[in-house]
Amino acid sequence: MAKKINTYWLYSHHTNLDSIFSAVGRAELPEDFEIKLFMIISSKDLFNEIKEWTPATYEAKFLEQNTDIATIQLSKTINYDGEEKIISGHLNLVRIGLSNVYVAISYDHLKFVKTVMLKFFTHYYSNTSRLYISSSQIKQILDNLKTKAGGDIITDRVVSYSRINNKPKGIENKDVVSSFRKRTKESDLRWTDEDFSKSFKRAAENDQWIDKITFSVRSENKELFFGFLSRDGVFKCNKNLKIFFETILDTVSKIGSDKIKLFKDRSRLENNGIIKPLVIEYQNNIFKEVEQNHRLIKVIGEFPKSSYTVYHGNPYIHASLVDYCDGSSFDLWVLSETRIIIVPQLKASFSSISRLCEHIFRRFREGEIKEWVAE
Amino acid sequence: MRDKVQKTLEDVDNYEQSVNATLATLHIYKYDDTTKKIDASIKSWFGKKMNPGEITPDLLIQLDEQRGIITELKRSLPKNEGDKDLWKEEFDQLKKYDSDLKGWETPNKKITEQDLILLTSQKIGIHVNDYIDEKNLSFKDFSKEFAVLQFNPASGIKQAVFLQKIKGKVTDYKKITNDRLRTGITVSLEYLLMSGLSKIKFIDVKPNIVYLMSIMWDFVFSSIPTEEDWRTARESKGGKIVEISIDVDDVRTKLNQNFTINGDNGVVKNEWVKEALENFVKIKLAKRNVTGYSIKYRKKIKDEGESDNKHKVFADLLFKEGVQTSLEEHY
Repeated sequence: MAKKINTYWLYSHHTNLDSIFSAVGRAELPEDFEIKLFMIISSKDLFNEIKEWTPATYEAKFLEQNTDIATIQLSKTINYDGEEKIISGHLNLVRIGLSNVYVAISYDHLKFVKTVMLKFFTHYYSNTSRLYISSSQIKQILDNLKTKAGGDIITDRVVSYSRINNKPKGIENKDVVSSFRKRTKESDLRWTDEDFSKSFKRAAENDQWIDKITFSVRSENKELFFGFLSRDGVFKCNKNLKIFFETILDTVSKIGSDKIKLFKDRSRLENNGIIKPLVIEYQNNIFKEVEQNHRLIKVIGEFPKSSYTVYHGNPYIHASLVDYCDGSSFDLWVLSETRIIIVPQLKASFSSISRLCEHIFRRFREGEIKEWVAE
Repeated sequence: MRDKVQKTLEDVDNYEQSVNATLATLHIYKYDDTTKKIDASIKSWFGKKMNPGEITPDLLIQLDEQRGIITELKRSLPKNEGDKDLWKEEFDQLKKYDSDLKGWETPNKKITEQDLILLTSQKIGIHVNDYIDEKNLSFKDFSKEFAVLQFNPASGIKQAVFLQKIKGKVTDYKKITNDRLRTGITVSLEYLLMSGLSKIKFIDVKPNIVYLMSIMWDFVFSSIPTEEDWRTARESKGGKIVEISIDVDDVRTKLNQNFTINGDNGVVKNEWVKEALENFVKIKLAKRNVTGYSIKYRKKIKDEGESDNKHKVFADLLFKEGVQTSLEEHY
């Protein structure tokens, strides 16, 4: 049975990231120890947001706080078989540089991380979002890690998805019955022992996107550490936090800052009525085939907690949707073969734009999010 | 019911095409090919009140203090059958625009050089031409030139509106020449984003009520609750409905301010908004109250097919309830 260690002291007395790295570096950690990192972006000061409001059933105690690091004890009361139970744990919430990119670091058990910590931040909808990264950005992180670690990166486990064309033959889109609508992606879980680049190559060849990857970093037949990266901003490693985290940081803080710039202050109400569109751009002319219009409309219709309206579907797309989480609303246009234009309407929150882009990436296709410029 | 729903969806699409065509006409005058920018000195209005007669042409473009263009949109016209001339009234209306109108933004509220344009869909373009010829109509009493332009959606690598002159002349303005208009000008819809697409959803023509209801639902109602209201709804266990109190004037103002050209408060009318709200009452998404209406704002609008396009959902509910908007025979 794995040795349990008291992690409390790992969270305390930190003034910066280096002090966290050195505390973890000095610790004698068991083989199965996991350092969990959760990347968050926010349009506001997240420390203040948490202090000003805490969701019901949660308690967030700030045990320590410096300018950019806080040690938080987080508890959630859950009802389990009619009995109230409290799940509690700790995290360090760290602001990266001067940006509004944050990382929550926890050494606590996975149950705490999954059922308490990750869910806690979703309650700060409108101003806060997970930092979603794309498959290609995961590969970029691993490329950098390989260079930095000066070793090999071997895939241990990879979860990838491919989109299912679930329209049965002979049935038109409008007639697709709801039972066929349910499954839209096919998952592929693979245990391997191959260079990570092969995993990505195979995914690309099969029109799949990599969602999660577990890997080991090896050098001179020695395993330096285990790592885990996922598209939804959850990362893990078992040791060598410094090299792992610094490499992630290079890529992720840039992605985070770019997203903050793109998703923040887009609503017309904040901009005297002026529209500030974004585009999701594709390298190939994906909308050359009208079938892609139908696919995109279907994907828009499946955006959780929203409803949509189609003004025109062929040959161009004009649709609108409203997000029932906070009333954000958008126009979506496809007017050329290579891009989707997203026009944030009167209200369009940071979190909603982030969630919508991620939904399109995951369910339709990954592209590049950019400021709209007329072409 | 299916036919009525289908007709509603067609009406909605036709309205969008009319908005696009009106914006395309405006765009060709406002877009400066040399600077590749919108010329902000050119003024424009939808449904601006002009005198005598308090008439409201669909689109006015004031190029400078001397020159202006009056455009009237006729996307469809009632079918003329037998001896009945149902078009006469429409062309009599057009004739009223062929005069020295007061209401322009110039020192004496007038201009000296006016072009009159009839903008029509390609579907009825030839019939309009024939009618003008048959009746020997002239629109050059005050107007320097009169032209009929037809529009049609154009698809290709980029989606666009195709504008083509099929009768008469316009006064050349920069690169907008008779020769170019005769062969046709293609205006990319992406370019129209610069001059108002996505911002402008209403022209001075009443849309199908389902179109208006969807815009109110998606864009206006959603913007009314506060952050706190949304948070309360998100965090409460059964909190899928947000109650929104509204009044007709407020909704009309929001629609006009945000979805018409220049935020003109006269484009969307109170009676349109009232009709839409009464329809929400009939399909049980709103209730009348002392101050106006209370909207039950939620995702699940009806039991089945909740992931359907909202135009279809509203149309289905309206026709099931026996509420009908006017659906006259049109070309």
